[in-house]
Amino acid sequence: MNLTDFVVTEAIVHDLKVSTKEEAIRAMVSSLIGTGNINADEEESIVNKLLEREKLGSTGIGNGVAVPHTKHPSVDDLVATVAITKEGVEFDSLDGMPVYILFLLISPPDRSGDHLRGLENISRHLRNQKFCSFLRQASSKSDVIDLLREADNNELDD
Amino acid sequence: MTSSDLVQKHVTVKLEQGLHMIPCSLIAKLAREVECEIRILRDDQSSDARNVLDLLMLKAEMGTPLLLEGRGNGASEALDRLAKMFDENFETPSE
Repeated sequence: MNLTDFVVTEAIVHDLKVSTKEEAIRAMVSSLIGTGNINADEEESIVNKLLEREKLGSTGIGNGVAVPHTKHPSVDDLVATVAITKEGVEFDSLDGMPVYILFLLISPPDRSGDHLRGLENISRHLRNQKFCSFLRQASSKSDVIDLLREADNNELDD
Repeated sequence: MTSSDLVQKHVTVKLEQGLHMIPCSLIAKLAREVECEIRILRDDQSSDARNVLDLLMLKAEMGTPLLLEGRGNGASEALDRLAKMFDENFETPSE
């Protein structure tokens, strides 16, 4: 499984400007509605599920990254997007630090295995300091897309 | 026992969905609270218990045996707490 298999590249936000966790999640869901990957009628339901998941424990897992995720019956396939915020956003992260890189994943409820594989794939790449550092410097959507492709091809390995 | 002694404890993952992000975050939270260094091992693979991404890479599914290792002040108590979390299945819903 590659990042570019399930990240909707058109929905990537390279200059997210938000001041709260909820705003960040709403903006990313909204971006997936804009590309037609999520039905606009399901917006509130999906945002609420993502926020409920955050209440169980923040997906801000340290090192400036967060992976908000949930399962939702309105999607037929794994759907994800990426957002980068230069200013950082408070996310109740494990290390108490702001988040700069967000991967948001929504999966169909009956695809648990793929959901976990998607999260594992994202996590594996986020361990790569070079990947994270370049993502934070990305100045356009195409920069981010290039980085995802390079990560998929293991071109950023130390 | 000196503070540099290595303490070990065996646990088994009982979570239906394996060691997913919520339990990994709970482990990392505990590991960041204590003074000692904790590592979690699956076969030859060793993860820093303070690092969620590192823990997720263990890909520990239900039934996977893991070895907890602690070194430093309070390692024995910290490992007891951690083993209890595994034993009580982290009291957490699935992802």
